[in-house]
Amino acid sequence: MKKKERSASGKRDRLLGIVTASPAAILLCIFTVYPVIYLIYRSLFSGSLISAEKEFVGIDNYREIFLDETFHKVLVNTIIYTVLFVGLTMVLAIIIAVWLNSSHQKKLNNMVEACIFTPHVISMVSVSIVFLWLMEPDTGFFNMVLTSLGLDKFAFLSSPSTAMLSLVLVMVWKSVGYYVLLVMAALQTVPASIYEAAELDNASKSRTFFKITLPMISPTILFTCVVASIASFRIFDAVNVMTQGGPVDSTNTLVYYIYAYAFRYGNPGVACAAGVVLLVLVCVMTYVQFGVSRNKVHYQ
Amino acid sequence: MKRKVLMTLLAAISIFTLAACGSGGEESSSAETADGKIEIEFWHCMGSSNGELIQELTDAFNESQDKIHVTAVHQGSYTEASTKMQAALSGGEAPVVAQMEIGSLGVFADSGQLVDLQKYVDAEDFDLDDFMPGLLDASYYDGELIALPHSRSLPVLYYNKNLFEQAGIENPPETWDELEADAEALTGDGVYGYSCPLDQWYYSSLMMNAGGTIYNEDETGIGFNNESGTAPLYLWKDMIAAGTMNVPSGQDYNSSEACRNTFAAGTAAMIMQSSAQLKGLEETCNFEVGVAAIPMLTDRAYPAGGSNLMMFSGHSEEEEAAGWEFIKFMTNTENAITWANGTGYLPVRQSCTEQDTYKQMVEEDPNLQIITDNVQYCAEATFIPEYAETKDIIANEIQKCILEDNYSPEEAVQSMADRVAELFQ
Repeated sequence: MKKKERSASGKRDRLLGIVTASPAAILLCIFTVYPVIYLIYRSLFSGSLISAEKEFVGIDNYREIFLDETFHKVLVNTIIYTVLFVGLTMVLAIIIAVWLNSSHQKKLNNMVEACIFTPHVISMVSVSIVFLWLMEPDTGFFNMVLTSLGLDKFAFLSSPSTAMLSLVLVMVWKSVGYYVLLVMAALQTVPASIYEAAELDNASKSRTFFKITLPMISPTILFTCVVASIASFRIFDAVNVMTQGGPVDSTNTLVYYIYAYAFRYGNPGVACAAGVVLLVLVCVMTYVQFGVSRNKVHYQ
Repeated sequence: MKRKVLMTLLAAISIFTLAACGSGGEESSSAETADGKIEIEFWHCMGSSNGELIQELTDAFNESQDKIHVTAVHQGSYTEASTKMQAALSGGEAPVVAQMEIGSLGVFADSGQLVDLQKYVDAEDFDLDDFMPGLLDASYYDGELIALPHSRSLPVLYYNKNLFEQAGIENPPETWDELEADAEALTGDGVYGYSCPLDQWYYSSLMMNAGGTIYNEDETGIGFNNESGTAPLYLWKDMIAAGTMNVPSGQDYNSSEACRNTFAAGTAAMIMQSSAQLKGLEETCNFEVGVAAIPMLTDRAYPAGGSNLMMFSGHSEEEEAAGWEFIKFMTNTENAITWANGTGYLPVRQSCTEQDTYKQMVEEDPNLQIITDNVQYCAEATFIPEYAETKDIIANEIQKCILEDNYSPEEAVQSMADRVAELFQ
C-alpha cells in the first residue's frame, strides 16, 4: 500500500519535472542541439548557400582546412589573441580591482569605475571605427602624440607584425571594465577577519595578496578566464571592421575565416567544418579549465 | 563525473551557439498591392547622397506609370548586400531586382539564380549595342545576358594640380617611368608623390597595363604569371624604398578611404582611385583636382569595376516583367546621365555623350570627359564563382610582398598562380 503511494507520487513528480523543464529543453533543442547537429551534417557537403544541389563529400572539407596554410595561421592567430587578451585583461582587471577596493576615496573610486566601465557599453563597431582613426599611422592621434614626445611612429594596424597587438589593445581597453567589476564583487566577499589576522601577524602586503586575496577570489578568476577565453575565440566584429583579417592574414581569426568561407567565398561546407573545429576547441578548453578548477581552486 | 563532463559540454555549446543567433528575416519581397499594382522590391548598395538619388529615380519610375510599384531598399556595402542576398536566396526571400557588384555575378549566375534577360531583349528588339562595349562585357555569364550595366567605374589617377604647378610639372604621368620621376619631384616636406592602396584592383590595373590578364585564356589559372605580374610589385617596392610612395593603412574600402584622405589633406600628390570618387574629391579638396589615365608600361587596359542591375529568379512572370521595366527605366539614356551627373559613375550608354545635358556636364567639368574617353580600354570580364577568393589571394600576396621582407615579387606571383589554380580544380 505504502509502496504504491510512493510510486504514484514519484510518477507525479517525474511528470511535473518533465513539464516544468520542457520549455527550456525544447528551446535548447531548437536553438542549440539542432544547429550543432546541422553544422556537423552540413560540413560533410559541398555547394554554396544558394546552389540547388549539394553534393556529399565526406571529410573532404575537413581535409581542405587541415591542408590549408591559411587555416593553420588562423588557428595560431586565434590562440595568440586569446592568450594575450585573457592574460592582459585579467592582470589589469585584478590590479585595478584591488586598487579600487583598498582605496577609500569614494568619489574618485566611482569616477574611475565609471570611466573604465563605459567602453564596455559602447558598440564594438563604433569603437573599431574610432580606433581605426586614432591608430592611423600618418595622421592618427596616437602617432601624433608619439612623435611629439620624440618617439618613433608605430605602425599599429598597417603592419603584419603589429596589427594583432593593436587589436588586442583595443579589445582590452573595451572589456577590462567589465572584468574589474566581476573581480571587485569577488573581493568584497573575502571576510575582513582574515585580513585582520594577517595584519596581526605582520604579514607583508604582497604576501597578503598572494596568500589570501588571490586564493580567495580564485573561483571568480577561473570563471572570468573561461568566459573571456571563449569570447576571444569568437572575436569577429572588431576584425571585420578594423582589419578584415589583414594585413597578410595577420589578424585573420577563426570566426572571420568561417564568415569569409560561408558568405564571401560561397563555400559553407568548409565554413561548417571550421565551425566544428571551433566547437571542439571551445569544448576542450572549457573542460580543461573546469578540470583545473577541481584541483587548484579554493572554494569556501 | 560523467554528468559534470556533460554539463561542461552543454555549457560550452550553449555559450557558443548564443552568438550564432542573429540576422532577422527579411520581409516578403514581392506581392500584389490592394490597388492591383504589382509590387516588387529593389535592393541597392548606395548610401548618403547616392542613396537619395537612387530613391528619387525609383520614385520617378513609380510616378511614370500606374501598374508597378517598386520599393527601394538600401542593403549596405557591396559585400554586405551580397551576403544578405545569399541568405535571402537560400530562404526564398530574394527581391526581383538588385544592384550587385560585378564580382559577385559569378556566384549568383553559377547557381542559376539570375534571370536570362536575352528573352526580353529579343522580344522588344531592345538595343544592347548602345551600351559601352567595355561595360557590357561584365553582363554575360556562359553566354547568357544576366545583367545590365549601372553604377560602373574604372580606376584612374587623380593628381593635385597645385602641387604639380609648384613642382613645375605640366602634364600628369603617362608611363611608369614618368610616374616614378614625377613622384620623386613632388615628394618633400611631408608630401608623398604618390599613394595607392595595396589592393587587388589597383594592382590589376597596373598589371593589365603591363600586358597581363587576370585569368589565362583557357581559364585554368591567372594570366599574369610572368613579368606583367611582377612589374607592378617592383614599381611599388622601388617607390616605397625611394620614399616617394605612401601606403594607406587599412584594408579594402578602409584603405581607399585613407588614400583619399591623404590626397585631400595635400600630403599625397597623386593617388589611384575609382573614377566614381571624382565628385566627392572635387568637393572635399580645396585645390584643383586633375584626372588622368593610369600610367602604362606596354598596354592600355583596365579592369572595370562597380555594379550592375540583376534580376533574381524565383518570381512570377508578371513580377519579372515588372522588374525588366524597372531595369530598362534605370538604364535609359536620360537616367544614365542623371545618375552619372549626380554620382560620378560612368555614363553607361554611348547615346549619353550625344545629349545636350551631358555636353553641358562635360563643359562644366572636363575631368568627366577624360574618364569617359578611357571607357574604351575597359577589358577583362571573367567572373568565376571563386572571384572573391581570387581577389583576397591576390591582395594578400601583394601585401606580403610589399610589407614583409624576404618575399620577392617572383615568389608572390608564383604563389598567387598556385593558389588560384587550386580554385579552378
